[in-house]
Amino acid sequence: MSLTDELVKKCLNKEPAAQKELYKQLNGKLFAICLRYTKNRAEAEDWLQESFIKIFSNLKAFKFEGSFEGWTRRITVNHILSDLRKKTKLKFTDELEENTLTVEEDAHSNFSKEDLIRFINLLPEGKKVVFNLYVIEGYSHKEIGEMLNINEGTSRGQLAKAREQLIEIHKKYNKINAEQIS
Amino acid sequence: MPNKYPEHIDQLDDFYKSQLADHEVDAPDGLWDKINAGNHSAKKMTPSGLSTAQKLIGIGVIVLGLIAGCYYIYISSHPNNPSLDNNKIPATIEQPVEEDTHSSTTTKKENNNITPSPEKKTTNKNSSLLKHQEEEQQPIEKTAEENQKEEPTVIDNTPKEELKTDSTAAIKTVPKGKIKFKDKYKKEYQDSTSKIFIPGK
Repeated sequence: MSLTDELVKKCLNKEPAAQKELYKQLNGKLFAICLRYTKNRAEAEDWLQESFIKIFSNLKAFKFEGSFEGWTRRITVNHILSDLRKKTKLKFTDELEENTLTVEEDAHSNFSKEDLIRFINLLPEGKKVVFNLYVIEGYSHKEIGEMLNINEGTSRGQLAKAREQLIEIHKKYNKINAEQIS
Repeated sequence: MPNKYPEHIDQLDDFYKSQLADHEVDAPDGLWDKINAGNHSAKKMTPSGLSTAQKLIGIGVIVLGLIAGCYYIYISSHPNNPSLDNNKIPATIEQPVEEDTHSSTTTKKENNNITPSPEKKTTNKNSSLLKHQEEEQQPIEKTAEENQKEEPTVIDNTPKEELKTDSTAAIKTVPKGKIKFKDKYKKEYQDSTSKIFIPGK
């Protein structure tokens, strides 16, 4: 039995110290997921908070069969998608977000992880979600179609356009960067 | 670690996945306190989404509503309830059914003593009703006396509501031969009647 599993069992017994320890182990990874689905940090914090409450209240549902971290990631992603549906933000359009692409003074042709998250957040809502689910979370198009109530073809199309737009964003970023260096 | 962006679109997925799959961003300080507080409030909630206190309040409101409803139905089904209007005096004053005529004369006296209290103003209509009732009671006495002379009397135990409609039926005369008793009382009754002096026989 792994350390995490032992921690989960202690959390099932409502031990506050174990709950805090579990939060410490997972908050960084789950917060990074939340930040990939919104550029609004306050919204990401709300998602993280609500996801942790769901995780602790549904611990009994964890069967100790797979990875506990994977289970928490799925809960977080499902919560984010549910909230996006409620806010009717999940639209599959081709328009890019308002271009707020700026280059840091010390930036070069290399990207930091924060830059990559910023690029993803420049994508339209639908493409961003499909890209995150397929490329980062590893869901198949069939699974994405079921999660978002769309066809597999729509998922594939959204992903292709997301890739194209990201390349465009990269080029734009490098162009601005090159001008600043020269 | 900074990374160079991919040259081709095919490399894009791997590039992003390798960079962001295990990426971590520390959550702001104080978020754990919010989660902990939210976690405790979630524990207090029942599966239906309501706390125990909320459920109790809900049950209390339902019970009060039911009581109020029952009371309303009771009031509406008893329009003559004096508690509704204290100024109204009932049109008929129920007279207790007495066994002998002596007691009925006392009730007559009591009725004569009924005077309107200063708190409750009686109308002329009500006083005339009282007089009318007194007049009606006199023939009852006579018929009762006459009946007692002729045949044994049987006290009528029918409900008072029936008596209201026909006051003369307060004392019923039943022919001797028509009285039916159970067998075990039959002999006792016959013995007792043989000892009683019956006028006219």
